[in-house]
Amino acid sequence: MARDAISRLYDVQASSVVYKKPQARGKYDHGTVTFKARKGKRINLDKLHESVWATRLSGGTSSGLVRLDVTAVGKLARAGRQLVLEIPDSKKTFVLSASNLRAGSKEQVAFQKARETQGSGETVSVTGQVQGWHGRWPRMLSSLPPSPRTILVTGFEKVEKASP
Amino acid sequence: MHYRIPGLILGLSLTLSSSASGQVVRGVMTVTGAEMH
Repeated sequence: MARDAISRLYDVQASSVVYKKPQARGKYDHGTVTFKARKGKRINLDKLHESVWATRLSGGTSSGLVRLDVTAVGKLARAGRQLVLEIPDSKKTFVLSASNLRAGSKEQVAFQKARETQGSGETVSVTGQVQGWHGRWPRMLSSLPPSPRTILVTGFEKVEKASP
Repeated sequence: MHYRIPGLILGLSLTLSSSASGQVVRGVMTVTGAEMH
């Protein structure tokens, strides 16, 4: 159902939506639905939430959202003491936070690179878990998770060099 | 609100608003339970 809800979104490239059940040991194992935007488009998380809500997933089945990982492209900026990712042509921003504070971890290195890149004007790609997007159906779907959204950074890369 | 708009206008509205309001280019949703997919 979650897979179908994602496929219905206009900005999602339908052929990119793939459901995988990595562990086939029981019906309550975790599965993943991967998806990506159509070329030149971006997926609206509000609409994603609305689409899953529209499936009217019922409670009492131990079904739910374990986590949502996303990749967003934009420019890094400071908002007070917070590092944020500004999305072009959008009023939405993501607050970036370290997902793993252990020195030398892949996640900590990615977050540190993001911090060092802030202010350069470069377009960057940030990957990570969206904080607050988890819980059992239907409670998790009854209201939008808090905003501004925080990405717990797990990956970072520069998309292009800044113009001279 | 979108559902009350006639089909043709609905499609046009989504087309115009989609890329401007979106935030992410890729995603992985991890789900569990009997209705996971």
